[in-house]
Amino acid sequence: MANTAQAEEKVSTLENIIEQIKIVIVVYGIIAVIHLVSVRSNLMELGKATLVSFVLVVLSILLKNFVKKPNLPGFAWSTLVAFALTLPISPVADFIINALQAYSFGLVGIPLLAFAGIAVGEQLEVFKKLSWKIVLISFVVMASTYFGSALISNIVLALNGMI
Amino acid sequence: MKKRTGTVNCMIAALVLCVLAELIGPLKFKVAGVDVTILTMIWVIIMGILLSPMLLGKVIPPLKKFISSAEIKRAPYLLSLTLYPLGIMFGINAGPKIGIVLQAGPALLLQEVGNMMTMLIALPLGLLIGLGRSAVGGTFSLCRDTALGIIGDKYGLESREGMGTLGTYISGSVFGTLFYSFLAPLGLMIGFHPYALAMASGMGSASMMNAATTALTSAAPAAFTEQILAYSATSGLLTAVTGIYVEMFVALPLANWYYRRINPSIEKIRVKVFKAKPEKED
Repeated sequence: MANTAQAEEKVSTLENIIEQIKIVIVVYGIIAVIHLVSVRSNLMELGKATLVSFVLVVLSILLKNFVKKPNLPGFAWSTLVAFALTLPISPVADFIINALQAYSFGLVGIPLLAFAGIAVGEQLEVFKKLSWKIVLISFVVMASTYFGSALISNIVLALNGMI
Repeated sequence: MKKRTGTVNCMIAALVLCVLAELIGPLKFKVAGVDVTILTMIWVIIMGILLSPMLLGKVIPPLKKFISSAEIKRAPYLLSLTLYPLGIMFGINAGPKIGIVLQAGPALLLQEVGNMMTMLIALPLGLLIGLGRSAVGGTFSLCRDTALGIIGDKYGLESREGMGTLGTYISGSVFGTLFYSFLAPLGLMIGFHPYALAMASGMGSASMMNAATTALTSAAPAAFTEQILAYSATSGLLTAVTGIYVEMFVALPLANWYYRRINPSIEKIRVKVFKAKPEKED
């Protein structure tokens, strides 16, 4: 009994991974089109950047699905993977950095904001029921976490003579 | 027939929105002598929000069919997968700069404390306008998914604390990206160094962090860009790893302690100024 349950769980993890990879492929399609429209990238270079980035993402998705301790968000995994592989001691660092030069940071992030915008639709119904008080407070919360951290960094960086 | 998951339409919508926004491009104008730039990314967010069945969907029926509740329910999942390629971009900017990042280690670590500054002003203000215990739930952190889990576990999301956390969570989901894309250039204007703002960007939500960082790189001189990304990436990573523990073991107990310290005097002010009835203790 326990064995079948375990086997089923494995199958669903695998299905999950395949579904996620399929979606990521389409996301890369969107990212590539945006690059073509916006900066008229060279097709070859764009293809190379897409392929290398995609391989790193597949690696991250596998890590996210199989490593449960520490249980990090997928975003943290892919940052870590890219971070580790581009450290100066990494033999593939130069290759990855060169390949990804065709990608612009802002253009890779932009589909995310589209989804973020569309996702707001789901919250609007509940949002209408919120009191203005908590909305006001949420703005104070967002501003103070940001400027609070910035204030500390600014002071410490200045004390260390780094800025 | 296969059940409609919303993936296809959502993807098409995202592509169209991004291309449209890129074609419109950033818009620059002056308001009372101050340069204002509406970034490309802001178009994307606004158009995305407008697509909601509750907004433009109400006016244009075919749009409501194209972006239905299936699509908006699917969007957060697609968003979580779009974060992978973005994480790669952050990572490759931090890895080669490990030296600089380590050098900035003290600043990067200490600024994590800033994530708890949320309650410093917000909690008393929340109490003053009569949120009571909701103010604790709504201000102990930026209230993203991990905070929902912690408060849900401890108080239940139906409790007053839970309502507060949920409130900040929802308001953040609706306004967060937009708000941060204006806040980052504002920070520069106030006089913060771009590196300090970069380190502040890892505040616990990847999409808000992306919005803040992108807006920052567009507003700061181009020479700063690489280092901004490196600091922002590290700060985001630090928060992702430590965030939940800090929230659970430091921020929430601290908020409760702070609440007990300041609530009695704030209640007195409320009774005097607003002639409000004292909040009942649960």
